[in-house]
Amino acid sequence: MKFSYRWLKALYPKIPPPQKAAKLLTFHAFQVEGMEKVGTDTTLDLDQQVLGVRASDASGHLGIARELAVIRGGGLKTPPVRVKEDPKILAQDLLRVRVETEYVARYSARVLTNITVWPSPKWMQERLITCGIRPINIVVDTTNYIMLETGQPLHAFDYDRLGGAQKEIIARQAKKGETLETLGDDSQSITLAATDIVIADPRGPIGLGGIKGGKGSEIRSGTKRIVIEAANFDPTTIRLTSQRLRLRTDASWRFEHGIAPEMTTYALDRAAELLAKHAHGRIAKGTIDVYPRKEPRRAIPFSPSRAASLMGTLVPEATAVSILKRLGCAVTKKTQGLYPVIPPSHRRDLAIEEDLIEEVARIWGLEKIPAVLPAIHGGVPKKSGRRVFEDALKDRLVGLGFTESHLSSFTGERTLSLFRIPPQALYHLENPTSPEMAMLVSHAVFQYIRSVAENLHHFDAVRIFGIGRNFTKTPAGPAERRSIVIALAERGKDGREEFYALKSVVDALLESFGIADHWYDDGPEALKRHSSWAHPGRVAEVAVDDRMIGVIGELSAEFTLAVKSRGRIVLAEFDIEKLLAEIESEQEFRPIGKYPSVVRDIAVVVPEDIRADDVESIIENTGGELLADSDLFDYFQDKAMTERGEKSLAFHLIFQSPDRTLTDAEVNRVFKKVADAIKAQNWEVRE
Amino acid sequence: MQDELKRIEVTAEAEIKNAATLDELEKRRIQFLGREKGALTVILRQLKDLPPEERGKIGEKANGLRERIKQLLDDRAAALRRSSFESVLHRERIDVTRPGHRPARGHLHPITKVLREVEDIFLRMGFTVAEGPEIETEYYNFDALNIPQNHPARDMWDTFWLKNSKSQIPNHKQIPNSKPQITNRTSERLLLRTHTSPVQIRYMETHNPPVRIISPGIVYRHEATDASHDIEFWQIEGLAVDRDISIANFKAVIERFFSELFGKKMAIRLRPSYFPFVEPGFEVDMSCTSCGGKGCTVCQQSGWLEMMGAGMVHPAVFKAVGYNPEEVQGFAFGMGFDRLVMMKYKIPDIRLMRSGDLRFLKQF
Repeated sequence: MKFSYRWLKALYPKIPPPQKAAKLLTFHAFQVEGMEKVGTDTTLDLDQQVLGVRASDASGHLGIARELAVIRGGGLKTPPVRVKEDPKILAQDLLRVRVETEYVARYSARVLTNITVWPSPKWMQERLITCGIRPINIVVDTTNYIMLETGQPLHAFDYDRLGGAQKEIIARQAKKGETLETLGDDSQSITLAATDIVIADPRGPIGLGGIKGGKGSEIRSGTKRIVIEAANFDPTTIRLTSQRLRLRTDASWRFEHGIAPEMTTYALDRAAELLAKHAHGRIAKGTIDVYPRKEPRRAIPFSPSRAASLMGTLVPEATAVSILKRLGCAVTKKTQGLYPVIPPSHRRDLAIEEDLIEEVARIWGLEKIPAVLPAIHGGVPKKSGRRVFEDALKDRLVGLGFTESHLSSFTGERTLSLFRIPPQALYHLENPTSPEMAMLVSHAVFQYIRSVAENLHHFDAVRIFGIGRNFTKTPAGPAERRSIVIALAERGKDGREEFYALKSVVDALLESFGIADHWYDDGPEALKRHSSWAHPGRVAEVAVDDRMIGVIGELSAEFTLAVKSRGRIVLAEFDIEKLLAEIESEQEFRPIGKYPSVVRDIAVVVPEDIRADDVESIIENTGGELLADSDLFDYFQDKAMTERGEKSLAFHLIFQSPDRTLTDAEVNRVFKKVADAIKAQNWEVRE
Repeated sequence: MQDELKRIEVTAEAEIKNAATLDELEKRRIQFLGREKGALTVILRQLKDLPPEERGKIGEKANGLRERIKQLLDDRAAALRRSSFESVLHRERIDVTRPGHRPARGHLHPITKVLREVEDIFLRMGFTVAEGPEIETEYYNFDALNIPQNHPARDMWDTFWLKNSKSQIPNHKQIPNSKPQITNRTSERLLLRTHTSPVQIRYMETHNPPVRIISPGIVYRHEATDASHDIEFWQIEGLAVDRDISIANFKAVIERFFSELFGKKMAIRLRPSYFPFVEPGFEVDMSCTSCGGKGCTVCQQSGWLEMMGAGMVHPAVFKAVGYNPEEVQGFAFGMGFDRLVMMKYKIPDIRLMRSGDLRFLKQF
């Protein structure tokens, strides 16, 4: 909000130069966001957000001048009010005011006659322009000027265009469906709701209370008699109406933040005085003032020791009291360590003791508060087990050559239809910023797939991972499932080696967390669960016992094409919670074998469709307890074998006993048993 | 015979020295010391034929010569072995300036890197890392934070609301002997949290004071995006509540935090400000990281950078979580985290953070 430096100087002659004044305000009151030279004047642009809470005292030049005087000391030169009323014209004879709604706390009005509507004086116009308001005529300009001076919005009606024989103004709730033509260049017809407050004459609405006047009673060049309104409206009501109609004005901003009803008569008198002086106005005797319920002023206790405790330093008691007094508070005698403090009516924001402590702290100077480390009581600081686990996952994947990526939490129709995800399962934004960011991601994995495809434009090989959040609707409310997605791709490759590369990463990762007994489920049920996205011959669920913890697979040809990927994309996804559950069992030491192990190799030629797992399970099942381990070390298929539909698998068989050194004869016996079992399948054994 | 010994000595010296290989050296050994025909062996064998007085003298000399030849052979053998070793080494020499074989190296996201530093600093100061959901209710995001419905302060947060959704998240702590907190059903409307302050509320609801937490996480704002604004970004908030936590304590903790993070003494300053959930409230500036306070282009000549909003927790917030504001007090702060990371690495555009672009990510 813009304030004129010269205007402030007129009210507070001791004001320091603009830069200095801005600095005082910024460090003791509200931030000055900008300064600008306008002609010979300078505007100070104050942070509207912070000012909002102080709309009651600081939305006018008087308030800012008062603030500066409190901070820096010295007196204010407030304009004296000299209202010369015409004893022959009685306001109460000319106008009646009725307030029919509890949402108008006060309605004050004055009547002026003999008005000449012409341009306002140059100094007034200049100040308005400096503050960003366009001059119109003396009447409108005066109302605006007084608002900028005091913070109290005013409105002027053309008295002679009020309806009814006996002129009457009624402040009431609107009737649903009533309409009003607003005044000004941006005039529009608005349809009112019962929650709106209108200012009406007996015929109907003549203004939208606290927000904007109506066209019908607008001041024109021929206007002779006027009514000036200074009222006080309920903040919430004004805010709701203003939001609904998307109608924000200088007045509505002040009312929705709440201003003091005590201000109305002062502002009215100031306006009347100016209009008498500059528009030949004659001021009718008396102010019409409907003020049903005065708010009682409540004392707030101020305890110097509590202030010291909250600030962490002691402000001398006399200094604190003096600051509160300079702010206009009535501070009475201390009883039981507490000063009863009654804030001035314009400081509606001061409601609790902490508010008073803030006043003392900021005027005294926040920079004077020392820095003191707190004592640490109770509790051991920690990160959750899940966070620690995610950190470890990230570190290990980085070690395995993968780069962490963060991706957007939003998605849209286009992506959903690409991956054929039904939109009703997703959370939709009520107010999205763009169609492709209109929903929350339900399958983070698809974000990573797209990112791999995009990166393949710049890199031959891509290895990324990330912790994805999957937002889904559940009967119990929103779920934010976390998963780790690992993806790799290489341009121009057929995906086969990439699958095994990722599989070895998965194995290494799981084993590094002590999960070694996981297996890959490529059964029909598992395949079916991933048929929507995966290559049917290159997908498996990763399980521990019968608990599925994740999946690994190659993206289907259809989706690979759809995301315009330059390479096959292989990916794995694990549910963080499920993974965490598997590693939570503690690791325990196992004794190191005392007796030497014996390694024998066996090569098996099998039909192409026999899986490595099938052969290995025959080996494991017939090896007995002396076969400590077996592992596939060679997977071979030459051209001739391909033609015959065969492949060769070679295994290391590791024999070891926990209680003795094995003899050749013992090993040979077991080895023969294994070889025989394989031969029984009609598979060829090559030793 | 003496002459003979002298001749052997001279020949042995020359020929052993000339032996080019270990094989040749062995031949020389046999030539001089060989058990059958070695030149010296032959002499020693003849000793017995000499008269006793000469035998002792010559014998002594011959034995001395044998030791000397042995020594010569050993020295030469060692020299030959050394040089053959050296030639092998020489042949095996590699070009150490050639680049090594690099294992694929991954990269952590810059957010993760700085986040870990921040978490470690606060863990050392006794703060626990707390988390909460990103989909929140209006109650936790606003009402409980002293931002009632229809209050103009709500304008400070441009909010993403979720379509016709109501929460079934039931976890409000009921305060004994008080009215149920939710009187307004609309407080159950779902939204994307605009700050991580709801985590503070949830944490206080379930933990007794003293409380010291930081809550990092993704938050959402309905804003136009540009190089310094995104509709989603990371935020870190902090909360310390105890019997006597003060503004002085806040200053020290934050000064320490920035100093540790930037690895040098950083100054901070407070300016009065307004946030509904604190009283008093302030903005926190930090001395400029690039000029140290003298004024430069980074800080627009001010010497200071605006870093966070903060304040002393409002009594209404304590009431909402069931704490007694007469018994506890504390500070809270919140800062945009992406900005801090951008500052640390001189990243010009916030949108890079969630771009997934490896050309960006591989730099960290």
